[in-house]
This record gives sequence, C-alpha cells and structure tokens, in this order.
Amino acid sequence: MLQINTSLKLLSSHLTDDDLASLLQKWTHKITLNRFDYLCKTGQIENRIYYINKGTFRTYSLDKGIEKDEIFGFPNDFYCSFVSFLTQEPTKNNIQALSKAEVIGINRTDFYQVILSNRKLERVWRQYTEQLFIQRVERSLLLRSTSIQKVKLLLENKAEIFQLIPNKYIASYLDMSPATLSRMLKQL
Amino acid sequence: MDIQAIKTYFRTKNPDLTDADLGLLFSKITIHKKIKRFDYLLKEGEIETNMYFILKGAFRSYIVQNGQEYCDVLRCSNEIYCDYVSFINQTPSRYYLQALSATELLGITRADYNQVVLDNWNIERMWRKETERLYIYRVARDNILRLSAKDRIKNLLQIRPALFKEVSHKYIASYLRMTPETFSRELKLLK
Repeated sequence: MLQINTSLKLLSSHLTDDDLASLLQKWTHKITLNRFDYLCKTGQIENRIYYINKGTFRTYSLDKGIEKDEIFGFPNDFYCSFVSFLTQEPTKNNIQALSKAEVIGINRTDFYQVILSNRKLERVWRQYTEQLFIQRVERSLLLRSTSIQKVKLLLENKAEIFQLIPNKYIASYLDMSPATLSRMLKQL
Repeated sequence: MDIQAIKTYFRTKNPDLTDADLGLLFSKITIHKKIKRFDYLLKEGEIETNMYFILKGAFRSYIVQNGQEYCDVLRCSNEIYCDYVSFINQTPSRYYLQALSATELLGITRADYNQVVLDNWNIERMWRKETERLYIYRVARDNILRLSAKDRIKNLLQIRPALFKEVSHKYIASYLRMTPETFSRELKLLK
C-alpha cells in the first residue's frame, strides 16, 4: 500500500493521508498474472481500475485481424480499459501481461463513491482524465509522423520503453513493421 | 444569443447545477466574438487562452503535416469549442481553428474558468464529466477511422446528424479521411 500511496500523492501535492485513507482501503482486489495472461478481454465490461505493483502490460485491439498495440502499462501506473470503465459498454481492448505481474484493483462503484464524496479526489481524477485525453491526441499526432520521426520522438520521450517492451509490440504501437523499426533504430 | 440553449447544454452534463451555479458561470462569460467564414479563431503556434461556446455556425480544427491538411475536429452550434490540449497545458497549438461559416461565439478566459471551477464544486463536476466525454469521443473517433467508408459515414450520421446540415460535405469527407467523391457516393447509397 505504500507504493500506491506514493503514486497517488505524485498525482497531486494537495492530497493528504486523510484524503487517501478512504480510497486506499477500497483498493482490495489483488491479482497475480503470468506472462501472456489477460487482465481484460474484448467484450468484457471494465469494472475496476488497477494499479500495477509489478510487471508490464500491453493494451491492444484487433483491426481486421491484426493486433494493434495502443498503450503500455508499467509499474506504478493506473491501468484499465478506461473507455469501458467510463461508459460501461463492452471494451474493444485486450489487456495482456508481458511479464509476471501483480496488480491491485478497486471496484468502479467504490471508486466513484469515494471520489464523489471528496472534492480533492474528484479533482485529481478530473486532471487524470484530462491527461488521458491529451495522451490520446498526442498519440494520433505521433502516428501521422514519418517512421523516423516516430521512433525519434519515442526515444526522446520514453527511451526506457525499449528496455522493457519487446520490439515487435513497439513496432505495432508505432504502426510500422518490426523490420522498419529496427532499420530506423540503426539509423538513429 | 440563446442563453437557454447553453444552460440546457450545461445541465445535461451535470443535472445538479443550480441557477446560482449557472449564474456564477455566466457572470464570467465575458467574451463575445463574431468570426467570418474562413477566418481563424486560433492558429498553429498560438496558445489557447479561452474556451468558447458556439452560438452560430461551424468550425474545423486541422493540422498541417507534410504539406497536407488533416481535419481532426468539427464543431457546430451549441457545442463547446477550443483547442483543449493547448487550453489545459498552455502549450502552443498544433492546430488551426477555422470558421466554416459566419459564426458567433461566447467565451470565458482560462483564468476565469479555472477560478470558477475552484470556487464551485458543481461546475467542477460538470467539467470533470465533460473531460471524460472528450476522452471517450477521441477514442471513438480513432476507432471509427478503422471502419469502411460506408460505416464511417453511417456512424457519424448516427452520433452527430447536425454536422451534415451545418458543415459543407468536403470538410466532413476530410474529417472522415476519404475523398469528397467517395463521400458523396457512399452517402447517396445510404439514403
């Protein structure tokens, strides 16, 4: 719980231990996963937000039978199929562990009950949602760049991804073939 | 100007908004602009300092990449509009926000907006829900672009029929990433 406490406080310097107490006690669902296990599959309705204690994940969807990686999850990230969590409609995503992993989850009902009764927490959630939106816009802009620009930008913004995630998933994330990715990496 | 339409719009976001809440919000809506067709509300490199509510007309947000225009957003009357990324982060906009007809907008400055959100929980909640919706729409739009031309049009007709009346079809075609020819062919087949 210390780990998630620290991560929540990083989201806002205004949060006190009192603010977090009610939220943390609801973060009760601990799940351990093996490599390639699924946390969530297409068609399910997302009912929890997870916090990644250990391990890495990928979120992908199928586009005409081809897996398209959209988001990666790392230790200390809050992670789930957010659209489905918000809309309560079946998700189009699959969330798969890429290593042995451990997450803890909070139920949606508990989550909203807590944040709706604490204004500071609701504000943090609002700011978090703003960032989800911004990341989404940034990603669609990134995908319209040239291959070399895409790889360069990713190296600049999140170089550690190349240590943590196999190249074939990064290639899919950048919407290019693995061969193009390794050619671009050599050029750079 | 249609204050009632704006009130209704805000109340659909958060039904708990009282007249007093809305009164506070409206007291900060101090900007009133008219923008002519093809003039710009914001240009690439500028920082978004206001949030607008469109009273009349339509806008598109497009980005220029490798000499090509990509339209990412279409907005028409009774919708909130600005470059959200630039508004939230105060980073230079990558977009051009252009009027597609004679338009009229009301607006609030970012400073006033942030203050009113801090002062009033119901307004902050409305913005929280609006942010969730923005995110959901953005993801939905990325997903729509994976569909066939016909299904892209069908989907947009379903969720935003007003666009087809207010925006000239060549911009909708560009928004849906297809040629105007494909757009009008597929639209005819649907009707």
